[in-house]
Amino acid sequence: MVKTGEIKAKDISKIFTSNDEDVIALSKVSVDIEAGEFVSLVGPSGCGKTTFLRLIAGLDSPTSGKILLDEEEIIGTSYERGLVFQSAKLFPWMNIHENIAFGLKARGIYKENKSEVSEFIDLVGLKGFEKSLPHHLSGGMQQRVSLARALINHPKVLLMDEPLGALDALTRVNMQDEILKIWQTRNTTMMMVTHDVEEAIYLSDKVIVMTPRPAKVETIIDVELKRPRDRDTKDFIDLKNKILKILDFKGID
Amino acid sequence: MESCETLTKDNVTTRNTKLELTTWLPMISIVTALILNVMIPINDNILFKKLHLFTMFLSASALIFGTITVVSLFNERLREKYTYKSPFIAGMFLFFNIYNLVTLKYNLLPEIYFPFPDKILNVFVTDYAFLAKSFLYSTRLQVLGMFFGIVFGVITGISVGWSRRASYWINPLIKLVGPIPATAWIPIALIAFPSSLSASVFMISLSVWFPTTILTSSGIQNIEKSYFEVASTLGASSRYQILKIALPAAMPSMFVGFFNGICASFLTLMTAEMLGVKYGIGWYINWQREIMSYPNVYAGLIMIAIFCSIFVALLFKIRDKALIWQKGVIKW
Repeated sequence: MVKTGEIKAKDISKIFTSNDEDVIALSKVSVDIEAGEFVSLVGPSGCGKTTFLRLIAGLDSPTSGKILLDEEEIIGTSYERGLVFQSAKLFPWMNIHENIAFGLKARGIYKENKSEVSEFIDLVGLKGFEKSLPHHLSGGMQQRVSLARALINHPKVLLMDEPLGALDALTRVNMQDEILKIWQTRNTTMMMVTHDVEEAIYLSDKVIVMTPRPAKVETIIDVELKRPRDRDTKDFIDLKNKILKILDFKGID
Repeated sequence: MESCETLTKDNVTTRNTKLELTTWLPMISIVTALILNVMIPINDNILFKKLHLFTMFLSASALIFGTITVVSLFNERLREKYTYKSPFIAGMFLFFNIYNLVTLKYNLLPEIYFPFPDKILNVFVTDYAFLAKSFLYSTRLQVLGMFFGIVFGVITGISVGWSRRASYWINPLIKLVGPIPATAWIPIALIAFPSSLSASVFMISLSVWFPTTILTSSGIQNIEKSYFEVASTLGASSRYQILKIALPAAMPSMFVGFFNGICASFLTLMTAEMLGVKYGIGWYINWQREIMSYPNVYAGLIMIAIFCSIFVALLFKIRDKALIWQKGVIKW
C-alpha cells in the first residue's frame, strides 16, 4: 500500500492587507511532512501557526509559494484534508449521528457507507449518544464528535487547530491518548497546532517551532523518544526545556 | 446549582398557597360581571330592544371556566397552567364588565361609536352567514398571500444573504420597495394583474415578502463563518451548504421574519380587500365603517384579532417543532 498524505510546503508566504497596511502572517515557510507523520506546530500567538494550517486546509490561499499534497498543489478545500477547530463547531441543529454522517451525506455516499457512522461513534466512545443534541454533551465529548466527523471522510491529512485547548487538564490527557490511538490505527498524517509544548512532544514525530515577527519556522525538532512516551523521563523533560528555551530566547510577550 | 434548586422549591410552595385565590379569579370576575349585568337596569336613554346575549355570553363563559377551575383542582398540571393565565382572563372579563357598565348601564360614552356588548354580539347572531363567508374569503387570500410571500421572501433572502452580487443588486431594491405602503400599490397591482384576487394576493404577499427577505438574509449573514468552513472541509458543495447549514442556522431569524410578515399581512388585508372582492373581513369592516355601523365594525375587528392570533399560534407551533434543537441554546 502506497502511503498517502505527504505534504510539501515550498517557500510559502501569506500577507493580509487591511486598511492599506500589509500584515505578514507567514514569511517564506518551507516544510516537508512525510506521509503518516504526526506533526505539531508550536509557538506564541501571532507566529502564523493557524494561518499555516488554514493554508493547508485550503480555506485561504498563499500569497506566494506552493503547498503540495502527494505532489499535487492544494487549491481550495477538500474532504481529503479534514479540519478540527478548538471549539468543536458541531452543527447544533443536528444530533450526534447526523453530525458525524455529515461528510458522507455531503459527498452523496451515505447510503453505501451507513454502517461506518456507528463504527466511528464507537471509535470515539460515544455509543448511546447518537440521538443527543450537541449542547447536551460535555466539551470533551463534543470534541470527540468533531474528530469523528472529520475522520469519517478518511482524510489523507487531519488538521487540528488547538483541538484540546478548551478542555480541562484531565480530559486533555485522556484525549491525547485517544488521538494517538486513532492515529496509530488509521495511519493518517496528522498536523496539530498547540500552545502546549508538552502535548506536542508527547504526541508528535516532529515539532515545528515557529516564531513571530516575521512569522516563520524557527526550527524543526525530530522527537525520537520511544512510544508510548512517559512525560516524566529525563529525555522528555530535556527536550521540553530545549523547545521552551528556543521559544523564550526569541522572546515571548 | 443547589441553591438554585431550593429556590425553585420555595417558589413552588409559596405559589401553592397563593394558588387557591388566583385560580378562582376568572370565576369571580365573570360572576361579578354577570350579577351586575342582571341587577343594574339599562339606561333610560338607550333605545334598543332588550337582548340577553351578553348575559348568555357570560353564562357560557362561567360554564367553561367553572369546569376548568373544578377540573384543575384535581389536575396539577392544568392548575399550574390555568393559574398562570388566571389574572389575565380575570382582567379581560373585568374589562368587558366595565365596558358594559359605561355603555349600556350608565351611557357615559357616545353610543354610536361605543356600542354596548349586546349590540356587538348581536352582529355575530344576525350577520353570522355573512361573517363566516367573509372569514373564508379572507382565509383564502391570506393563505395564498403568505404562501407566495414566504416562498419568494426566503428565495430572495437566501440570494442576498449568500451571494455578494445578488446583495449588490437586490439589496437597494428591497430597501426601496419594502417600505412603500400597500395603498400605494393599488393602481399598479390593478393594471399588472389579471384579476382582483391576484392583485390582492400580490399585495398581501408583498407585505409578507419584505420582512421575510430582510430577516432571512440577515440571519444567513450572521451565521458564524466557521460552520461553513467546517462544512467545506467535509466536502460540502455550495448548494449543500445553503440547504444544510445556511437554512437551518438562519431558521430562528427566519421565523421572526415570518411572524412580522404575518402581522404586516393583516394590516394589508384591509387595503387588499378594497380591490373589488365580494367578501372578506377587511372588506366588511371598510363597508360597515362607511355606513357608520360601528357594532359591525367592532365585530369585524374581533374577527380579525381572532383570525390573526390563530395564524400566529399556528406559526409558533411549527416553530417549536422546527427549532427544537434551540432549546437550551437560544432563549426566545
